[in-house]
Amino acid sequence: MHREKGQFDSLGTKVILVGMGTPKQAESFRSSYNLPFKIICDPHKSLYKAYGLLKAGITDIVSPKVFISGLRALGKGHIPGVPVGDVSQLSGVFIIDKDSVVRYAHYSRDIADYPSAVELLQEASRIFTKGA
Amino acid sequence: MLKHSDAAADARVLLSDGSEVLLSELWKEDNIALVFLRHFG
Repeated sequence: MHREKGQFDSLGTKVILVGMGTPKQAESFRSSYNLPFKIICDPHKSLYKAYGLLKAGITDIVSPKVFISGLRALGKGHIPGVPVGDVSQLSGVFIIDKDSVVRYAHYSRDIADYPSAVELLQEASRIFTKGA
Repeated sequence: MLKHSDAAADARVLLSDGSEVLLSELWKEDNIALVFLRHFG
C-alpha cells in the first residue's frame, strides 16, 4: 500500500494503520516495510472493539480460500511475520471524511478477505472526486 | 458494526511514536483510510 501513498495523498486521504502491538513493535514493522503511514497501537483492542471488527473461527483461518490467498501473497514476495496479539482478530478498513462520517466500511469475513490498495483507491476516488 | 453514513467512533489513541491523540484529530484536516491489521508483519 505504501506504493500508492502519492495517489491517496492526491485524493486528500491519509492512510492510517491500526495494529494490536506496542509502539516498539509498530516501529519495527514500519522499518521492515518502509511504511510512510501513521500507526496506531491498540494492544488492548479497544479500537477494534469500538469499530466492531469480527473474530475468526477456525474455518476462517484454515480453508482452501485462505490457503490459496496465502500462496498468492508468497508469490508476490510477502513473507508473513510472527503474529502479534490475537490471531483470531480479523481486519477491516474504514474511509472516514473530515465531517466524521464513515464513507466506506469493509469488515473482513476471513483472514483472506481484505480490499487491495487499488480497490481502496477506487473507493476513495469515487467518494471524494464525484461527491458521492 | 458501522456502515456507510454512520458517525465514526472516536477515541484517544496511542501512536507508534508514543504520543496520544484523539482519533478525530487525524481526520480533521484530511479524509482518512483507517486500516485495521491482523498483526504487524
